[in-house]
Amino acid sequence: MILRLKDIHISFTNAHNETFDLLRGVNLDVEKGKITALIGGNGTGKTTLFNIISGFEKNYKGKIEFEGHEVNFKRMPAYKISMEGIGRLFQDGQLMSGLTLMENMKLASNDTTGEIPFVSLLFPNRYKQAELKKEAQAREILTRIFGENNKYLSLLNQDASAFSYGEQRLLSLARMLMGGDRLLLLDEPTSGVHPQYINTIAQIIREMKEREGLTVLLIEHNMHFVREVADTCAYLDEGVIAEVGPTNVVLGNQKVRNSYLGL
Amino acid sequence: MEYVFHIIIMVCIYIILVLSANLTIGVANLLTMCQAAFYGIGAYIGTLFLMQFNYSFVLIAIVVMFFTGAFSLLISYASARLKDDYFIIATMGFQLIVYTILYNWTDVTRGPYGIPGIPGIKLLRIIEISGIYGYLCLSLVMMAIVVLLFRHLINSPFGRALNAVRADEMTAQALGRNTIRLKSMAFFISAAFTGLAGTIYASYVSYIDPTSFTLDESIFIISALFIGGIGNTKGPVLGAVFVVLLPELLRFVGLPDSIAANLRQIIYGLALILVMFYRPQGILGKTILK
Amino acid sequence: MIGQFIVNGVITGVIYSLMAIGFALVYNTTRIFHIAVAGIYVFAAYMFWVAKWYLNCSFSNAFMLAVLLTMGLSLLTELAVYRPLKNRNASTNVMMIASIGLMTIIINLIAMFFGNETKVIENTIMMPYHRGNIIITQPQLFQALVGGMVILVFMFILLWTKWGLKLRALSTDETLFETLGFDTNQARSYIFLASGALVASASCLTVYDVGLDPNMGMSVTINAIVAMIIGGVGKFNTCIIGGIVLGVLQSLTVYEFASNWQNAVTFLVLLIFLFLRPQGIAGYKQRTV
Repeated sequence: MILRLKDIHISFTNAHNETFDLLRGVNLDVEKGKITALIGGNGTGKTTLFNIISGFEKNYKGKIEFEGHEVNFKRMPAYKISMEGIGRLFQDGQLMSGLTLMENMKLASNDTTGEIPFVSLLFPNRYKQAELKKEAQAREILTRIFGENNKYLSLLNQDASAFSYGEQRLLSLARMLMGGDRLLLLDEPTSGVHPQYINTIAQIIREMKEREGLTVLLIEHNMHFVREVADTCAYLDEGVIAEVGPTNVVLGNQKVRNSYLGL
Repeated sequence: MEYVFHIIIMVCIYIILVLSANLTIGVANLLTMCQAAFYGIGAYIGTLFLMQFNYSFVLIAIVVMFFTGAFSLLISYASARLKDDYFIIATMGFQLIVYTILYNWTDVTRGPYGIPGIPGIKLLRIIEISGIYGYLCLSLVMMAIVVLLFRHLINSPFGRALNAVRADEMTAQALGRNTIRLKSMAFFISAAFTGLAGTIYASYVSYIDPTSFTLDESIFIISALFIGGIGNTKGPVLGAVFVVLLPELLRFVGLPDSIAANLRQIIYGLALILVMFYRPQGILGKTILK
Repeated sequence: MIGQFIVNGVITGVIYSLMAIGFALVYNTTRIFHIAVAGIYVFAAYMFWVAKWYLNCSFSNAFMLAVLLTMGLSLLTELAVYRPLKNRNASTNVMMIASIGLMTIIINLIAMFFGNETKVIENTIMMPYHRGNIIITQPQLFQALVGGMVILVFMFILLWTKWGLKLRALSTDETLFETLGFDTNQARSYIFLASGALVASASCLTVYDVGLDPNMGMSVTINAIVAMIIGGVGKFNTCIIGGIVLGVLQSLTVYEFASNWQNAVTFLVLLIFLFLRPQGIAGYKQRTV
């Protein structure tokens, strides 16, 4: 198990001071080296659960184990959790505009050499070496994912906004490989993307598992996509994981079909 | 000729001010309304050291930058806790509190009477810079250094990370960047150089009072920044040159002073609105305010 | 003695409330940080002055004229600046910068026409009213009565009319408002008109007492924003609470220390609220996820 969620609770207070329990004891084991899909209706707390795991939401109760040992996620700011090896792609995740593709890639590296002001002035050699290393790594990752001599290699200095929405999603996925993460949280990787890119996204996610040996936990509403990529499926309903198991079993489960898929 | 030199010195001081504002407002998209507070803090701390101790300029510069930077920690704290409009209001509050303190703490600042007779800056403790030529050289050199430093900073990995904070702070965090620390460092540098400009100004005009460091002055600095452009070094430099030269141009045209002062403000206001309409990144700027 | 200060504070608070509602009307519904109200406030004061001294209007006629003209200017800011910017998908920060530009233009145009010196509206000496130890001047009485009435009328419209319902709907969710088939642009026009009316009332009632100069707008605006925040952002009745609390607080600062520390205390209170209770006195915590 790479990630183990134990009894996660979270509640919110609305405008009329009524408390509302969103998550009521989520237990989930994410198996290492597998692709797990988290499915469930809108507003069931899938993204909130992701926020908890990646450190953006602190007001929860429960325990989280990462790679076999308990990590105090509540004390850890989001950036530290990322450095621990958990990557996150947000819903509608895009490249950062105003920065070039290369700058986007470099920013995802765990190596922050030179990001303290004026250090690059004091230690020019160390900073240049780090930059060159990051550049080489970026090229290598893009080659690995999109093949030899792909067009992105020649567009490294383009501003991110020059790429289409779908391309930005592909490149955002590629960017996640820069950080040396071992668990990737993908929030609806196909949402809003033109259908022509969906197969590529599925392929990239599968390769992340097979070639890079990464673990992927993804939220998805596109059931074809889930069936195609996910090994395991977890169904979140009424604040708990109602069903979990191999994808075709869960998607075939009568309860899931009735309550979520509406079949 | 002295008149021209005076304008050049003021242009240099404003270039430092606007470039400093650009690092937080332009690059990191942290809209603050308290640049003049740091300008004032720098001017008063610099004055204190110039009048009390016989230190060389380098030492005074370091001390002023350190102390003014230390005040920026308050703003960093606010930026970590408050978002958007609330943060802007908090910086406005800081600006007005600093002004009120400068105005009312008469034991130290002499309040509205101001502090006259501020001594000149001493290079290496012996050679006192005096007269307009001395300040012309000093401000040109300082301006050049600051322009180069900020250009380096914006293009360095630090600038890249600040750009990421502007573009998408959550993603920057998810990619492992400590955005709170990045923002604090930006505030520190911005405040420190603003304070340095304050010291140069105080020593140059040899008299300061709180009315130079009001909320209006903060708005003036921001106007210069947005008219010139944000996100790079060209824009802020142009903005500073524009706002300092415009009144002189109006005087040159021969408008009476009473009208010129208001007309110049009207032109700034109009320029600001036009820029927001047609070129939100400013005339020579790179990034757009979010 | 302290009673006098509290009464003074409450009356100032009424003015702050008017101004705060004028600001909040725009802020809650459009998210524009409408700093230009500082200019609009000054404009109203000068129109009042012109009506009083050049057109020899009575107090009530001058007041009405100033309010009408100011409503026009307020609408003009929306039509000439904010709406075109909105159509260009400008962010709220961009709108705020434009608003700063607008304020600068209005204030300096007025200064150019009327000069920078302080002017007075009423220079006759009026008999104050005594009630025990407490003295209320005639302008103060106007401020309390007229200001209170304007607020009551506004609250009535807000709570009991269809227009008020629409306004509350728009301040909750603009997209939904538009999806349901209401005309956002039209609603916004009305909002700016109403905002202008409230700001003008605040302005006329104040300058009748203390006179006017072109640079008086900013401090009132900032006090109004503070009142809105300490009352609680997102609603309108909270502005009244915030305004009166702020007015009394400032008045007590004068009583306890001196008037020159008034601003520092105001902003200290603001910062305390921002950090410890950002939802304000009467606001509620919002779910952010």
